[in-house]
Amino acid sequence: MSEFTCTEVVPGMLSLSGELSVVDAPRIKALLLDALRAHPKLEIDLLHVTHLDTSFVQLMLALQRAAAEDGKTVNWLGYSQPVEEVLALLNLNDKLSAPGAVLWG
Amino acid sequence: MEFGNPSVVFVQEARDLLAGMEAALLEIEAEGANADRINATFRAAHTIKGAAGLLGLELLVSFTQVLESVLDRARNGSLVLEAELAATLLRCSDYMGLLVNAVEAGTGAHDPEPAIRSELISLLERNLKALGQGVPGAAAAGIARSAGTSQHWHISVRFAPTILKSGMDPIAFFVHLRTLGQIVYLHTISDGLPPLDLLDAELCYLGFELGLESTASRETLEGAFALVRDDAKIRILSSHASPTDYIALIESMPESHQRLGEILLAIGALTRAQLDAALAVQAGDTGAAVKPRLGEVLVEQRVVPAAVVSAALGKQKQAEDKRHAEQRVVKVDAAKLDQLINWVGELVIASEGARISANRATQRDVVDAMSRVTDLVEHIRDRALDLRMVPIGEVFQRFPRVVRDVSKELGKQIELVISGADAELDKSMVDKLVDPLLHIVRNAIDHGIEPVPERLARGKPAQGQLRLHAFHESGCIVIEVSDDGRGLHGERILAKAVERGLVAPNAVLSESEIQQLIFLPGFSTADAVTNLSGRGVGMDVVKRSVERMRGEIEIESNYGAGTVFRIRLPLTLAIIDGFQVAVGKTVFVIPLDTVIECVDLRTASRTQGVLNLRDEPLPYLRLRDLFKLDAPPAVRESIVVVAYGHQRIGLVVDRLLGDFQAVIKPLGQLFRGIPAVSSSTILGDGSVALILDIPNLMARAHARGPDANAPRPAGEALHN
Amino acid sequence: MEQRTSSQDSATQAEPNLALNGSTRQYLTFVLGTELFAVSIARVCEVIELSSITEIPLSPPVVPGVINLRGSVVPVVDLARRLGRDDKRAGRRTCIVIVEIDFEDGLLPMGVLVDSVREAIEVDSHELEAAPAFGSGLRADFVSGMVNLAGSFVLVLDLSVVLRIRELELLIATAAGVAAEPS
Repeated sequence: MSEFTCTEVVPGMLSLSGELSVVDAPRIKALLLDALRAHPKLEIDLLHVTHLDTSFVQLMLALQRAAAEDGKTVNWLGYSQPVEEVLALLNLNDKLSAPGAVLWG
Repeated sequence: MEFGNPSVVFVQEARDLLAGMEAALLEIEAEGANADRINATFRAAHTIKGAAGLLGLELLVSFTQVLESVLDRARNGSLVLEAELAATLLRCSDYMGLLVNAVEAGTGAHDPEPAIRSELISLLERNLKALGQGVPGAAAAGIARSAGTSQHWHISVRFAPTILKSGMDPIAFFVHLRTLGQIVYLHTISDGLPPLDLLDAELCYLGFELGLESTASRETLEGAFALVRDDAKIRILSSHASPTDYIALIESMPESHQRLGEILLAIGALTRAQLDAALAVQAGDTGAAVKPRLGEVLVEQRVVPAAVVSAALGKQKQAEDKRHAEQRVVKVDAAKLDQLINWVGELVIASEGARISANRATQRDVVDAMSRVTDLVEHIRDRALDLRMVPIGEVFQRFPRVVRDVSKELGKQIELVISGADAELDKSMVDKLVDPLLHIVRNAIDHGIEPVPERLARGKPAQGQLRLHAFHESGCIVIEVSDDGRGLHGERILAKAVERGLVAPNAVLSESEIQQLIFLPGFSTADAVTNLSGRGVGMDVVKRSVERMRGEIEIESNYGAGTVFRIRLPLTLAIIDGFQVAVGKTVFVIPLDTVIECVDLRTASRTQGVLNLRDEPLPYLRLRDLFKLDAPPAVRESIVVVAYGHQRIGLVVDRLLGDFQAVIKPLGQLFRGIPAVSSSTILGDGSVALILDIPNLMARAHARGPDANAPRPAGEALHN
Repeated sequence: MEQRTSSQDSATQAEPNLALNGSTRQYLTFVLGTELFAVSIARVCEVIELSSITEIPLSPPVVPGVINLRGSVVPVVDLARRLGRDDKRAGRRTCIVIVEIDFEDGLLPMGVLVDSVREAIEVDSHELEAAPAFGSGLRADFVSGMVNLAGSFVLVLDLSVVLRIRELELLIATAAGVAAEPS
């Protein structure tokens, strides 16, 4: 079974790691939704994501759109190689804001 | 929330395909290549590649690709598939089998045999380079099959929302497409994405428009899409597509015309002029948009001459008809089948209870109605149990390859004849039967069948014969492995057994008893055991495996002429017809197919534990003695004569209670040590009866010896 | 604070700890003769009235037979005999406690014959004491602790040991094998 972890590094900054697949997608969605509701600015680190599939890509897009509608922001702090490859394949780099220059501790 | 497990399905189907491929290659190697066999091999490889691609199994995909190219050349005549290449291809299918095993084990990303892989690939590529050497006209192969110039394809894909739940991922699909060519552009359409809080995270909402630059043939592209076809809406347009084609595409996709048109424009799939032309056509077009099917899509290329189109359509229809004919077989999840049989079992018990009540009711119409129900239940029971039966051919099918490999390795010539492959046995036995049979077959090839010079010296044909034969007999399935080889040398076996202390030096044994000696543990000799596997496994392991299936194994052998191994297995069923008997208050059930007759004990004459039944001796034993049941003995005892294989025995009981259908309920781990009882069943009145294990009971009776039935003093009561 | 004696069969799992809010657990108390015992409720499925037990021939009295539990054939263990209490001290067995015991990859249902069932109690982990090393007359590994219930001491039994499948299987096989031998 795939495993992922989500840690709140500091309030408003989430770090997702492991395999983000459709099996866990409902849980991941709930976590993202809660985080968005709780903070005006959300920073999400994907540097330690080892695998992702279409379900997570959808969540990224939907999260971003939801943030925009609420007048909030989502920053993607870092992409692991699997994330980069998938976003490049699906040509979504301009839709999903590029990772910020500042990497957390 | 249910997820299909695609790799389980894939592993199973890949194995079936590889088995088919192997069979075709064996034929090619033995009898030469022909169009059918080459096509069968190609199709198997092609289908595996497509399926593997969808699961992102790159190792398998890239290897099969090379294989496919070679087979493609063989198909169009530019390459001759002779025995040596066939042997290489067999090794390729073995290697693919290893990759499939790795997928099953979850290590599909790691190559289990990189050295073998590169060796096979270089062997294959050597054959690819051989193209054009002295084969005239080969290059003028059909348009459909040649890997020619690069073409541009526009592909629209809308996956079914539930595709993620089927275990397929669009990303993996595109990664696979990349192996076919270059993805020039890919636009992800997220129009259909609902707001985050309403989104169902398990569904797929994304659509894709992409351009693929590829030298792959139309057929190859079709193959890539074949497996997602049912889970996706796909339109493929060639670079020659007309405005009408584009309109058809736009109309068939969920986005608005304008929106999709803009997208296509933005990604360069269309020029402004083309888009305007398309929209103009649409304005005047009153035809309804047709749901796209892959066959139709490719016909949209106006470039293709009409004759080819209809031919292609005709071919497609033929293929579909064939598919429908082949689909007489349905794959069923084994767990679901077991569940169904459990429920049928409950139905049988309930109907039995109802029948008892109905009979007590003595109302004619109730009794009649119940009788009809019982008949129906019996029919359903039989059909349900039948589902578990599979033809033994499933076990036999791997042996041509084994015989070929082993006889090659040992330099012997052996012909394998298989008969009775249709005989059916319970699915659960199929797996357990393979190893014992393999041992026996290896043994026969290694030590049974002589090398060619020796055969000729004995006046036998150079080619030895090995026969696998199966048939049904009195509730059992019998499997015979026979060879026309050396046969068993009685004296040598006896001498070896004495040497190993398994038999007293002056023991007198019949010929068949001597032959049975090879089943004793510790017997292994070079004369009677295979050492091919290096494990020194003896025939005793084979015998134990067979007995664990509640079966028997016997040998018939003539020195100089050959040997027959005969395995007899019960057709175990979850529901059996049983015969109820009682001793005291304990009810036993005897499998009806072992019951020959019932005899009143008073009228039978007996001496020393042996009955005289119509002038034939019949050993007997009392169930009350065997099971130490101490209820007061019945006034009139009866004997139930049972048979198993060639042996008979009489069972003395108090009461005969008639036949009924018994649903087998396992007694469980706890009672494994109880002799002669295999399982239990629930009677119509809710009480529990014990099902006798007749083979076990007979074995014990023999072990006790002829005076087993002499009265004995009561044993001590035992406490824990 | 529960006592666990090392067991021969290391594959057996100890009872699952079903802590409620971190420190209390539920137990089912029952009567055997004049004694009160308790078992963790974690593996208890139900308690049924004794109907008829079908005797399994050659099986020793500790496992007198099986019952039909809604279509499943479930073995029944005579707890008094298993604990070594002889027949005289045992009372009228009227109840069967249906439990599930870990075995290999799954759970096996078994019935335990007791005199009567009392109540379910909640015990705080600090109320659970080690049982005395001797005096109870029971095998040490059968007992996982002791609890004081309104003045009387109730021994808590570890069902995973009391009903260890392999041990019972061996007991039965030995008894049946000996019993079946021609003497």
